[in-house]
Amino acid sequence: MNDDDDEVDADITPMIDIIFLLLIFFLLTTKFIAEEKVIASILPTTKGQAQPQPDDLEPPDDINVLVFPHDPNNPRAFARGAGGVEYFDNLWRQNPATDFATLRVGNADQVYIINGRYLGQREGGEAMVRHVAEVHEYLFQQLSRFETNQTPRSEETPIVLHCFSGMPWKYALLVYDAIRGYEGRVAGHGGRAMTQDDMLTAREVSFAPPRLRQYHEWEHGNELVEIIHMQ
Amino acid sequence: MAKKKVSQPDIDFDLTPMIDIIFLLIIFFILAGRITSEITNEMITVPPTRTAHERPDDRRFERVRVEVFGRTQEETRAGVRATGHTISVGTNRWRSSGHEDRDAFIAYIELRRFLDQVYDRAAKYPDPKGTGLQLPYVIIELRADGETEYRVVQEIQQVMSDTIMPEHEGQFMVSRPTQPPRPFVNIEFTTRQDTD
Repeated sequence: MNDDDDEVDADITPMIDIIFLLLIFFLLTTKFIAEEKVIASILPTTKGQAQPQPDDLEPPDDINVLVFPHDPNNPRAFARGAGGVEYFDNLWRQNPATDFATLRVGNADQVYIINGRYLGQREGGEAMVRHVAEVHEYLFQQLSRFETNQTPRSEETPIVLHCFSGMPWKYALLVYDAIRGYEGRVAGHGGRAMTQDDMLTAREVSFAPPRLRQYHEWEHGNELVEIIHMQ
Repeated sequence: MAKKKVSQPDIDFDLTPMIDIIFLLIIFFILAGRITSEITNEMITVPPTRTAHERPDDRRFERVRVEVFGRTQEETRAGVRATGHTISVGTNRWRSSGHEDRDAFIAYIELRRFLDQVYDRAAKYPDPKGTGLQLPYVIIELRADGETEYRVVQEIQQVMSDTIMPEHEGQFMVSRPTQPPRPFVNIEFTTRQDTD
């Protein structure tokens, strides 16, 4: 060995190997998907809620929020069920997936047409954000009509969301989101995450059971007409 | 003065910038990426919402994630086709036909069997609403695909709150005759922020 040699002869090859391994590891395991979040809810425990109650189609105590398909080619058919049972039965048999949904609160004249394409796969962007905001705005206007300013909010008239059974879940969740958004603005828990304890004093919002009870009867037309005629 | 080996070709290329870049890349991926330690089902695209929030950190509650995906009816070129839906919890995966055959509700039935076990071993508290029911300290996270029918997602909610019991042959019972109800009421719907 030469004592005069002040060049430290560090072999960096193993280090580079390790670094490359790390790099490959992170390249392969990393996923850039948006982190999923949650919306809290509390399920009703009333026994027998699933019982179909044909005499009680329009319970006066609840605010009914209705979600049913919309056909841009024949929008009039969905206005108060003008299409009739058979029309809807056939329509749904031929085309069970729908890109548009009608949103109506109670007997309101004004409806909002939700475009489901914005809610689908990772598309939408700005347009989707605007669309979601419009749904929130529509429900805010409509629900304000029924507001009686109760405290706590659990005293306020319950909201029941009636969604046509064959509609994709994304519509129902968006409408539920808009109802929660309204409550946030009125009750003031707006931006804060609701805990399970908050849910106890929150307004009662529930998803109505589907009106079809048996899977071997595809009476979609009946169900659609019932929902469209609800107030 | 240092000795030089004659045999070594004296290509003096500087590795430092390359190592710098690689370090930067590694740091970028460590910070920006999320390791897929959490195994989520790739079949599911959760719908966007605006009031979405982080999972609250409440130590009292145990969390159970229930995933559901698949459309019971699907449109193809040949017409409407029955495909069924799938419910999965952890490594369990149950598939229902959603039709009039024997397997119409097999996934609901299996899910309820699983939930009964969770209920029995969970700590409980009396229902603050005064129904006399004992509620478990469990939050069920329902991670449903946006395209799954409303019907399926709603019926799963009823299976959770133990207000319906599916039977075979496409029928429902309103409650189970032999035992007291084992309801789960605390639920979270998985979603994603509309701005993400």
